[in-house]
Amino acid sequence: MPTLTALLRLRTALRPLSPAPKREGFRQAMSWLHTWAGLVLGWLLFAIFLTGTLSFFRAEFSLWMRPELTGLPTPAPDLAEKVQASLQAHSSEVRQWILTLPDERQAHATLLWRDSLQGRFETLFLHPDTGAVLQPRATLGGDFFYRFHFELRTAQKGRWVQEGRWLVGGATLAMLVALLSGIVTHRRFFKDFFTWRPGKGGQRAWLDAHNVSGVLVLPFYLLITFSGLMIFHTLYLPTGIASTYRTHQGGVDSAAYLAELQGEKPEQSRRAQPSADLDRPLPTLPLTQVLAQARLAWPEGRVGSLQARRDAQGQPLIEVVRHEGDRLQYRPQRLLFDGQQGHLLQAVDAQGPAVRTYGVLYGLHMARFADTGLRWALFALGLLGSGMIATGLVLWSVKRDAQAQRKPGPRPWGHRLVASLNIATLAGLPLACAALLWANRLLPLDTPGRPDAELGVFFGTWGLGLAWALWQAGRRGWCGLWAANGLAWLGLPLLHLLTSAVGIPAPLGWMSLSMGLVGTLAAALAWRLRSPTAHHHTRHTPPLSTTVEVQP
Amino acid sequence: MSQAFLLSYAAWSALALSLDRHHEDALGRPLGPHERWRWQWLGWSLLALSFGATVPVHAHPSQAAVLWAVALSLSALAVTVSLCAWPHRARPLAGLALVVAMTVGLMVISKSKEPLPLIPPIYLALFFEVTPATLLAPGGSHDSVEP
Repeated sequence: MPTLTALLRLRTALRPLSPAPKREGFRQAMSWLHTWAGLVLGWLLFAIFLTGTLSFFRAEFSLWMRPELTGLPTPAPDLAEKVQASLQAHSSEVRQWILTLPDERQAHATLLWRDSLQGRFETLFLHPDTGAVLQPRATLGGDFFYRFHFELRTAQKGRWVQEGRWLVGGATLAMLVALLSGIVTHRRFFKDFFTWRPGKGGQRAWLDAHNVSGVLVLPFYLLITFSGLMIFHTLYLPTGIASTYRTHQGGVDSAAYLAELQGEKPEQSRRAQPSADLDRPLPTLPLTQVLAQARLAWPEGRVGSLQARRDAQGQPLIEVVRHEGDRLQYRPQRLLFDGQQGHLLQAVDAQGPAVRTYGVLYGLHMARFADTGLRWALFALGLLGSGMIATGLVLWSVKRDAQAQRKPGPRPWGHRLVASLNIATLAGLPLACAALLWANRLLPLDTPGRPDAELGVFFGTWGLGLAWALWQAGRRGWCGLWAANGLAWLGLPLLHLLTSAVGIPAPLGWMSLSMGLVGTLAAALAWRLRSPTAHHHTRHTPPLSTTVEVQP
Repeated sequence: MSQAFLLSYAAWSALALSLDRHHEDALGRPLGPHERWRWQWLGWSLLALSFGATVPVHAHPSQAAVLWAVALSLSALAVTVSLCAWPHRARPLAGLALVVAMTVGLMVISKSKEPLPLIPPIYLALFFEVTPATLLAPGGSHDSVEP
């Protein structure tokens, strides 16, 4: 019952100041939907959008967070053979391995292997020339942003992964609703295309910024939101799969669905009678021969990874997977080779129109195909999306503060709560990201559970940001957190120079320089917010746009 | 990417100049009925051209389409920002973008270092009044008049 009372109080506190008209038009209804769908999940959406944007540079963040892996030579042509030899020397019980070869974004090779069919994979970082095992620091690297983006991962071995995916799915749906209703709500903008008037200040400027960042990049938002929902269709919409793909015993055969989605012939993955050979160690595989054939099959393509396992009949099988960046469609082409003779068994690729549409949408979301220029462009679009959500959230506060100016009385606590959460999310999350990078360099290398300790610093900093924002819900709150952001991000290039480890001063690199740039921008923002005269979004200032009737 | 960006920058600028408010801000006079039509025609054909420019650069049209869509969004933002910061320079900046894109494009197409391909861009530059004087004229930023 106390929850219900709190909810009722929240409703009263958040109630719009002006009474709603008796008969609502379509646009009013859409405006209401846009406002509340955007506000309720806006903070979560901002976090999802920002970490997703950072994930465009997942490999680069991983590299920055593992400075031991910089300065590696170009890969040896027979790297796969070397890796196989040293893996077999290490263990005679290898059941399965996946070797990701170096590419232009990642100089080292990565090997996942396991010695039992049910066991966990062990991840190893390998020297590209010798195949020797490298020992970088224990960290989640850029994978944290990536994992947080779609499952709100809070630990290296997160427990609430499925729940997180559901929550992200709900937020994504809200995003889609907010985008579509926003088109109706802000339809005036299509008349005022290209209009941005920061000089007007107050509500008008925030509305312009929200409109500009929203409408001009709308195709990207619609694509990224819709494809984000589609990627997890097996989780959100399982009924169709369950009714079509059934095992002989009557259960759901989702493995058959996934195999077909990737272009495999359905009967191949079915394990009608498990073979006794299935659980035997892998023999020595003819990798050189297989790779030569794969290069012939893809004259202009790159080999992304190699997988070795046994098929359903227990025969050793080598899978050569094309590089994910070779085309838009996600799940690259694969070639299956016989593990004993080394001859080609099957070329696997998704072919059906629906599956290919899905693959292209998936690929557009992941952006593995993007070269450096396009990656930065997409990063900019992602930042603009975060900016759109941020300006929308701030606009909610600015609008109500401007209305409250005309009425005496204290600020309603609901408004204050929204203002605090805005500060804690929009300025607190970037600060937490910086703190994660600091922790990555400063935590002792022998810290037990080091990846989780880094995440502890991340969430701890975010929590401190929230506490600060709850205490200071006005300009001082913004200014303080942006100043902290400025210091933290500006310090990162310096930290990189000082700690790039193993005695070798690493070059500054564009990652560190970009971090410095973020710091400069944050510091400039804090400087602008410092005094009551240079302002845009505090409640202490009279709204500059009182004479202009503002419509959303 | 840069080609598509420059061409769509010019295209969006032309479309902005076909709107009353931006036209008045940029050129200091109201938009005539024939002028609107002309700017619109120019804008839409440049948009089409900007897509055409991405196709030969890429092996696959799907990648060209992605690139074009990204360039389209970013250039629209660039036009918005420059209209806000320097409304007077909207036309010469658009002309400059067009001239650079055309020059590079024509040099690529003709595969020559001869100055011959430069002639059409020079005409364009004259049409858009791209001169150091218009580009660097003082008093770029000013408050637009509310209708």
